[in-house]
Amino acid sequence: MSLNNVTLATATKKLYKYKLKANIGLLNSLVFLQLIAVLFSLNGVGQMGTGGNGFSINVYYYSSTLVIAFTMLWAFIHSIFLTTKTFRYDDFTFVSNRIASNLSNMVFLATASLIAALFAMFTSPLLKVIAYFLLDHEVLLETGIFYSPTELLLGFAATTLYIFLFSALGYFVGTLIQLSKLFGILLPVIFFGTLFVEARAGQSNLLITMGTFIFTESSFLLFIIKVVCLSSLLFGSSLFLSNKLEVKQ
Amino acid sequence: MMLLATFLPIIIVIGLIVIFSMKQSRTKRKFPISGAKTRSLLIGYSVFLLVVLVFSFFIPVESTSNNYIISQEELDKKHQDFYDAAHQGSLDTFDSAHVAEKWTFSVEDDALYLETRNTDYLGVSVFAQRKEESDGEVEIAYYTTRPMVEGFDITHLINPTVIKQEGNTLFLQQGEDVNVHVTKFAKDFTITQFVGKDTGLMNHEYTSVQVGPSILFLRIPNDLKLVDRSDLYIQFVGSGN
Repeated sequence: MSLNNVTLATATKKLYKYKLKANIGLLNSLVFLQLIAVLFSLNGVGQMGTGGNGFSINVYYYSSTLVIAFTMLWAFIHSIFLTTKTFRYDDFTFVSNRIASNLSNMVFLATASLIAALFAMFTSPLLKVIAYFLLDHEVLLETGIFYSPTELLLGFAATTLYIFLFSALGYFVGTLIQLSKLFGILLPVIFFGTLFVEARAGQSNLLITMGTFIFTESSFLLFIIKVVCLSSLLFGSSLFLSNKLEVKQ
Repeated sequence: MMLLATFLPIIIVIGLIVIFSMKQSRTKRKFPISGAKTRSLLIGYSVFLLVVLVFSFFIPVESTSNNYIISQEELDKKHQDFYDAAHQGSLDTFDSAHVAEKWTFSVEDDALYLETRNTDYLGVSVFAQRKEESDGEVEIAYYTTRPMVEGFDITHLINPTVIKQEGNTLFLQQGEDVNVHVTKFAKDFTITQFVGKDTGLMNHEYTSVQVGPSILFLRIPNDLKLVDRSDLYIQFVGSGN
């Protein structure tokens, strides 16, 4: 049997179904990680205080920001692992090619992003309950964790897109490393080097500028366009680069 | 060391993900399609989060106006207006002033001594105004601007000055220090990025928390001599002291 008998869509679909079952274990770490992130979040994501004349106020802000950030990190690292030999070899047990393999990985990561985002959004009430019972406070305030169904939907969609973008980034990094192990050393060096050197020099950081491009976009439509374009670029590049890999490399 | 502490959570998380992933990579070879335990875990986690969600609706949380902020300039003006109203003896009609406590003391002597007790620090400005009549009664009011957190009034947490009369002396003592710990649940950045406004957290010209000055305002009989024994710096309103 060869690819002549199997269309790209069929091969991708088969691989995707297989990956859903085979890689479901990755979600174990997601659950564990989100619970850890909730614990870390109990320190608060922000704090401000003021006072005088024997009266002081300290406000501790809580939100699922850290959970979402950790989930993005989870997606990034797991995407790197998806490009490793152990995971790639599985694809060769099916009738497929690199395009189907990459496409199925992409769809799988999109599905994982959806699930991860859904869980991440629902950790807000968990944080609220834990904070209520465990933290000392005279006043408990909220401006509403979930405002309206529209905002909830917006938050869910944006969280999914963020996680998916980090998956794409991880997948690209993973592909680069598979291409040459040298990237495994070069990329962290470039990343942390840029971060520390520019921060120390007090210059406008390249990474911050890149982050601002996404994280400060206030138009949701433009945000979608940016994330979709960047993810496509990253997955497209990964697809192109993975074709350079020898079979079973 | 500080740097290590900052990155510690991230290092732990990366470590955990790598360990999990490596474990997953190894088990995949032995059990290509496994996951019954994972499915149970996911179902359990989903049910747990849903139960917590329902439970969270019953937690008594004060709702604040969204993103209530005030500029530092506006806040300073508000406090200055409060002092101006005290100087004019019109605190009762000043909107932002709140009377936290009131006292009335009878004085039989010609003079009333004011003294701080336990400490020289009182944490409140003292104003005095002579009444038109000489009725032998000293009326004291503790005025404060309302302390707010994101528009939520926490005036009820203020501890006013403690005042005790012993003969012809009023002993003033600062109320016990109050440290209000506010827990605020904010929306996630993935929502505020598109619908939120500047909360003022990152802008030093604005604040969402306001604590203002307090004033101890004495209305004394016309013929009473007020003697400050503790350098309180009593500011007299209207004609002479």
